[in-house]
Amino acid sequence: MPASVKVKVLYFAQAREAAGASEEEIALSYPAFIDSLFTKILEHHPDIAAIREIVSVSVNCKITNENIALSKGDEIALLPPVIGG
Amino acid sequence: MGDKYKDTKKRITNKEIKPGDIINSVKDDQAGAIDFFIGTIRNFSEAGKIEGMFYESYITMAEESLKQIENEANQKWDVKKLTIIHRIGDLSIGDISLAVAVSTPHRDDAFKACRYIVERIKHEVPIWKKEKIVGGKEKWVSGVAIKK
Repeated sequence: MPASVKVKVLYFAQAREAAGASEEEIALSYPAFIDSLFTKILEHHPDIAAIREIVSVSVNCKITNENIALSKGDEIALLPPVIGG
Repeated sequence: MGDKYKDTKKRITNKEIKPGDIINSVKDDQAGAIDFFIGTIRNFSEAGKIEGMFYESYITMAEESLKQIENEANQKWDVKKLTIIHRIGDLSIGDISLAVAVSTPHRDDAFKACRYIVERIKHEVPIWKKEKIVGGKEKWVSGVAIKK
């Protein structure tokens, strides 16, 4: 059983500004889930709380609405509402 | 769809979009119509007078999402060739941010497919834009929550 699960977190647009970073690695204790990741993110970047409700979350480029388990090396992105064009 | 759409195609770019190149990329002997949409940066918005726009994207996900939109347009219409290019970075008034070109045997399909693609790009692809308002303020343009 791994001691910790290290994941990569990407922040875009308003999330990037709230985090003050575009990406970082976060180590979570095993077993790791989206919710435990957010607890950690909010500890590091309290300003993310203001946009948490509007942000979609992707794991390895797939949007997820559930509190799924995370594996070592997963890439999680915080995606504010999008507007291309 | 075959090998018309190779995975190596880059749809997100930080370089200037050249309309002539894009039209040439969709020319096809079986096409009697090319519909070409160009999105440009205008000098006003609800926030006031605009002097530029900043675009950013989650490029790996955006490329996948654009590929999927292309595939779906292909299934709906008799598309011969199709090119989508979205620019990111700092753009000035008049710059081209988006180009979509579609060639089909007949014009009706070209109009419909092009419109369909543009509308989906606005609401589904991880791209964000921030207005630079004259006077120094900046504002993220409000968007749509990205879904599964």
